Amino acid sequence: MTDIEIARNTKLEEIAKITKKINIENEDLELYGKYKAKISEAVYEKRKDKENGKLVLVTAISPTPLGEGKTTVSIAIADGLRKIGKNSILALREPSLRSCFWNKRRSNRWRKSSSGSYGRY
Amino acid sequence: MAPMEDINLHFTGDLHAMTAANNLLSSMIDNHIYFGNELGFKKVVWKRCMDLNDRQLRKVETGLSGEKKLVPREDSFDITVASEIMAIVCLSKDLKDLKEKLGNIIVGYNNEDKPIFARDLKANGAMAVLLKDAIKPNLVQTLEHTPAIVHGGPFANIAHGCNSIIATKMAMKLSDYVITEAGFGADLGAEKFLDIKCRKAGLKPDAVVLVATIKALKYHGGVEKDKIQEENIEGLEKGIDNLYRHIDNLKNKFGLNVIVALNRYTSDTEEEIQWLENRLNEKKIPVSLVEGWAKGGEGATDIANKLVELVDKPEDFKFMYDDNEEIKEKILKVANKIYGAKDVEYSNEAIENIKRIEDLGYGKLPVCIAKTQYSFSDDPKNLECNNEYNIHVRDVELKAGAGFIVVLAGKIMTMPGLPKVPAAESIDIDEKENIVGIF
Repeated sequence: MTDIEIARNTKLEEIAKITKKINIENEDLELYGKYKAKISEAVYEKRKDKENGKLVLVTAISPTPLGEGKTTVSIAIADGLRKIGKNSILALREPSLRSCFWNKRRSNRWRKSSSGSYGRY
Repeated sequence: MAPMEDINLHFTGDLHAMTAANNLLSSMIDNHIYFGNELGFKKVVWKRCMDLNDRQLRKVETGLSGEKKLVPREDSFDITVASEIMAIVCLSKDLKDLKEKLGNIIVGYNNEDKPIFARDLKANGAMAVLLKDAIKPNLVQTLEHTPAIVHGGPFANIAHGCNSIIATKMAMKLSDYVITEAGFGADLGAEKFLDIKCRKAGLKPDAVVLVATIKALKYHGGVEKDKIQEENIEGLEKGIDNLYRHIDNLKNKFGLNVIVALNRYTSDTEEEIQWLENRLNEKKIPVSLVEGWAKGGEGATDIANKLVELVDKPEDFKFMYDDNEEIKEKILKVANKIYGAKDVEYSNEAIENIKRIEDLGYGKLPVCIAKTQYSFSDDPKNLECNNEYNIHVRDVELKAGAGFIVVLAGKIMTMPGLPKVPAAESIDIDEKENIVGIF
């Protein structure tokens, strides 16, 4: 299966269910369809005095044409932390539209922690 | 990451909003000149932008309709992710800060070579309106339903290459563990994440994961691409220096907790993996084999457990330079300490521009060095970096809105072209809206 087949075969959870994992109230969400939402600034304001979570930076050795998989590893780590019962979240970059039309993606190499065309600029 | 097509196409419209804000400013500049040029523009430095690769737009002439009063001028397009607007959105703390930073953009210079700002054109209010939703973080999920905030994506060479400050800070209030990343290798991405983003946001990472692959290390060791899948301990041994240097930078120069994530590929042999783990164990560097591609989160529980311990270890974090140091001193410190270069050489243009920037009072801003990502040096072919080398600075550009100084050490393309056979040729959609060819 390719990345996109795996993504399509995965039943997504509605975004309102995802927000329960991080305790965001529905009133602080702006829904963009069922699976995307914008989070209002009030979410931060309400938690201003709360202790910060731990910040983990994922970086890599010097890139090669072979790809190192920073985003893939980032996703795997966040999922892995949830597997061991920790409350994790990803904070990643959003891709440019241009990335899609540009080059052949290295599809079907990544499976479970698929990152799509992410970060390729 | 899902919904995958959405994220990679229009998503929540952030990039389009940035394109609109960028180009509103351009049209207000030309409109101002059309109606008499009261501010006295002699030179316009603000460029238009678009979120597609199109080399035809690298240099354009505008205002050619021949109408009276219309002043033709040379212009050029950047891709949206390379626009200063993207960097500003990612470095703003809130809407108020965004508006202020937009106002601080230098759009051109007058007859006395004094900068003209976006606020002089009264453009920043309307630009902020266009960006009011774009500064709000987007929430999606991984295929295992882990919450994922996906927000902001600036270039990693002429900009700082990480997601937005607003998103990172919000994520830190929402969860106990926030996983974020920075573009390219650690010499560029992590350095900018630390020296620019963390400096501006008042953050520091509690641990750094350094991703390496057996294949990439062999490539650094000079193994040919078509032989990269064959077992080759010797090649690995030659290439491991690249990994050591990044570890040394992160651990000893920046003073951070580091773990190596060995991202497993199907072609990696047990012997190669064991050899690499042994070398790192000898040096007491934590390492974990990550099998995310095959097993998802299940393939990363070892590193997850190790990280939970690592983030509680004390760090001695330091920036590579202080705000108050001169621009050249800042560049030299990054070149010496992170790139391992002996010295920095400047073109006459770069020297003049550094002086101009310092005279204008912007000398205290951090430096954002645009250098090849393939080598520690500024030569993309110098993979092993065994020889002594200098970094060559071609030019220096002030980004007064975003609040950093771009240092160009090499040629950086801010409007890429498409290849002979672009992926777009194989993208299609059927009547049921199934998209093919994107991934």
